[in-house]
Amino acid sequence: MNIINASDVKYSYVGEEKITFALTGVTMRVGKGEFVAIIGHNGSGKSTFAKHINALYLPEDGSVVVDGMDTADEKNVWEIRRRAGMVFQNPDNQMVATIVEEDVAFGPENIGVPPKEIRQRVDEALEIVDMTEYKERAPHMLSGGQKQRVAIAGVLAMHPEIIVFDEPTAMLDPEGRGEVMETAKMLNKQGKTIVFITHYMVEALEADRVFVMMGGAMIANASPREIFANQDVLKEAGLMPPPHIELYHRLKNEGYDVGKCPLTIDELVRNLKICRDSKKQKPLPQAKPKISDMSIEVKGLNYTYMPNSPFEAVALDDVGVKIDGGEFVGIIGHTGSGKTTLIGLIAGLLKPTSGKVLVDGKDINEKKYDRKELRRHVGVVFQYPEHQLFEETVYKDIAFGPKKAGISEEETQRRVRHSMELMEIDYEEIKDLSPFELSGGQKRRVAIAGVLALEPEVLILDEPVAGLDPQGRAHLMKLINHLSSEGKTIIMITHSMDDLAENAHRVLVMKQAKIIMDDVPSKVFGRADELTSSGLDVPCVAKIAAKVREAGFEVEGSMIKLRDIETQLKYMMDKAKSGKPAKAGGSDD
Amino acid sequence: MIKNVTIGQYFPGNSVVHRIDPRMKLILVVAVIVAIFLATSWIGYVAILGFLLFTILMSRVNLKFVARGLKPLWFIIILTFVLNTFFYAEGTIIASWWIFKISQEGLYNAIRLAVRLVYLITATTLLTLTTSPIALTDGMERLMKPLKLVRFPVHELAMMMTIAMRFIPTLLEETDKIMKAQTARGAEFDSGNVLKRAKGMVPLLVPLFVSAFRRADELAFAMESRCYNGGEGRTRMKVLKFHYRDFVSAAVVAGLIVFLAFGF
Repeated sequence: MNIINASDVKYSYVGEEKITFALTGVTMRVGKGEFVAIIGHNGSGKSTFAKHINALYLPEDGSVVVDGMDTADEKNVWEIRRRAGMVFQNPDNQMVATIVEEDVAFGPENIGVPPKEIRQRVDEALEIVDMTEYKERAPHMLSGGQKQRVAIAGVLAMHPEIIVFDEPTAMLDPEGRGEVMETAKMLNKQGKTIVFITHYMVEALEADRVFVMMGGAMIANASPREIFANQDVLKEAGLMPPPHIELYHRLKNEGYDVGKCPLTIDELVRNLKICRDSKKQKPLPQAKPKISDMSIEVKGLNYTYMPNSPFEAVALDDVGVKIDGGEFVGIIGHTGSGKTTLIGLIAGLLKPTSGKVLVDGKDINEKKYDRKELRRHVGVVFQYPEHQLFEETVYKDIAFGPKKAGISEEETQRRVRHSMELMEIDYEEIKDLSPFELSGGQKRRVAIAGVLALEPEVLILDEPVAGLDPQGRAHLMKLINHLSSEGKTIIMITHSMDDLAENAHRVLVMKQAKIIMDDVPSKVFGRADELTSSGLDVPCVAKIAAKVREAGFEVEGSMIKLRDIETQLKYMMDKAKSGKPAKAGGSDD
Repeated sequence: MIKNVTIGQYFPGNSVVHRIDPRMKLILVVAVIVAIFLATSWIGYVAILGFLLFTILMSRVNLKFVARGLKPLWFIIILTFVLNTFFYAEGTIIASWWIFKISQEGLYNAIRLAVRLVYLITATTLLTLTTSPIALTDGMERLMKPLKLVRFPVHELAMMMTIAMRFIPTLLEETDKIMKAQTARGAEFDSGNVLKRAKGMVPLLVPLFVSAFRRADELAFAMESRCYNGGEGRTRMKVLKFHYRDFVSAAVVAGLIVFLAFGF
């Protein structure tokens, strides 16, 4: 029997000027105990549909029947919401109480469960998500992943049949994402039906079935293997497969017989074994930083939060690093390792407890140093920069910085236009709109343009692609890369190792207030064990390279770019066939 | 790190005073306030002082924290003292200078008022020091339950307070972030005259409001999806129950009142 039975669901948002057709006829059937994923880019209608499953929205046309109950029938609403729990994207905005266990109790309290039983359910739910030891903590003291686990416990305490996850991992770091995914899988094993909406294709691979949404309709629904084997569907939906599947497609498209679409890297390796063998390796070119004279150097930097208080915490411990002009430096590290503090100090937003920050050779914390000069040199894009938009129009918001810096009207206009061009936003079309009307990806690019308008030589970005859909991520990374190639120094904090592997010249790894590694990406990501033990991920390509090597392919272990591994594999397989080296395509960096 | 800021002035602990039922504690504070006004003689004041010191000792709260609660009110205490000293006209004059006269009764009255104020503040400070904001809200909601009969929105008020307390740290953190982001774009929050400063707040306040509304929106969805439907038919996980210690503490306060009511 189908536990979720949605037929031709239509839904629209009525705005002041226009009506947005969010769902144009969604049909979805999910069997009891299934684990299904819904993927699709922003605006495809995923979240709108998710809210139909527990009667937060009611279909304008068509019907949604959950566990035999029609959501349109008003008397079913509360029972449907109890049976189909929902976990939302933003971990902060779904917690009601000031103590973890009180928050978990919120649901059962609402449906009038007797106190003793609530206690029992709360303890049980916290045990399942492994948060028992945090039950008396305040929510804001928890990490993102922990908050989401509490949210899951809150749903579990209502004893639901179905749990709908609406992009629960979008705002989490890799560790938090892992925690949430593991929890979802475990609950599925215990018999719960799981609907998992995500932007991360790797997560969709874990599902029994994948639904692809596009323009408010389900355009495909099949096993992950079938979905990801189908390049047309992915292209139509604007989705990027994970690197190992992308590699599979690239090889396949050029006529290599690489078997059926692999779900895991291990499967890919098994397929590759079909045609293998090669002796020679080509040396990999290493990216060389461009040389310009603006440098940033920190020496013996220490920073302690709230010194001499019970909350005292050392955020930076004797950190020293020099970044040359034109470099693209990635900073990675576990949450709380000091990354954000370091960039705050470089940007002069925090004062070091001790040590020096030299920008262009000058100590920015000296009394006579002109702060305006620093603002000209160093631009900072914080996490979720779109949250800092405030003006009536896009133009005014981007012009805020230059105006504050006392730049003339004419020059400001040129800069606004130029920075919008750099972010690929149409000046004429967008400049008079309110920033709040734009889509998520556009808002972010407008916010970054607001920083670029100051024409800084150094651009610091804190998780610039977090929370964007795959298309948005790829687009923004391309733009950042372009800024780097134009000679700007880029310092980027990120959890996305693949982005750094493809673009950065250098990677700093931070752990417990110190920089523990500082090297070119291929070397840093070559030390996979150390990274993993620091709670960090390695790029997917590095994982593929390692496994391919283990399987006896003679490829270089330090490969981290998709293009490199593609070239090497082709080379080897061609050679295996013809017995001599075939076209030896090089990497074109 | 701004998120480590505590709300209110709760001093976590596990003493008897901490563990008294919040409902009882609220009632007892009111009773002690009554007692303070009942006292007329010096013996009475000493008795209350003894009681307050005993409570502080039992609560194991550092005396410094209690004193900190008095700090912002020193000015008012001194002002009442001075006004009462100089403008209490009747009685035996013990000193006079120009238009000022100090009478014995005036001085006595001023000291009495100042002592009362200090006692009042100490008693209420002790309440907030030993009771977490959640317990306080909870206690108030339950004590005010009868007001529901006159359609006073008791539950809604308590829910609002809880949500406010839940989001204060989150919003503080967000304020900090936005301030830094706008500072990096050249905004200044701490220079210029009043008008300039007020204007300077716009780049901070607009994003803060926008985000608060977005949060409210999302929170509403989350609450609804967890079957929240107002206070009707709601149960609570933690049921407040009176214990032995609650009755003992009530007896102590009752004893104090009886002692004072019989003329001390």
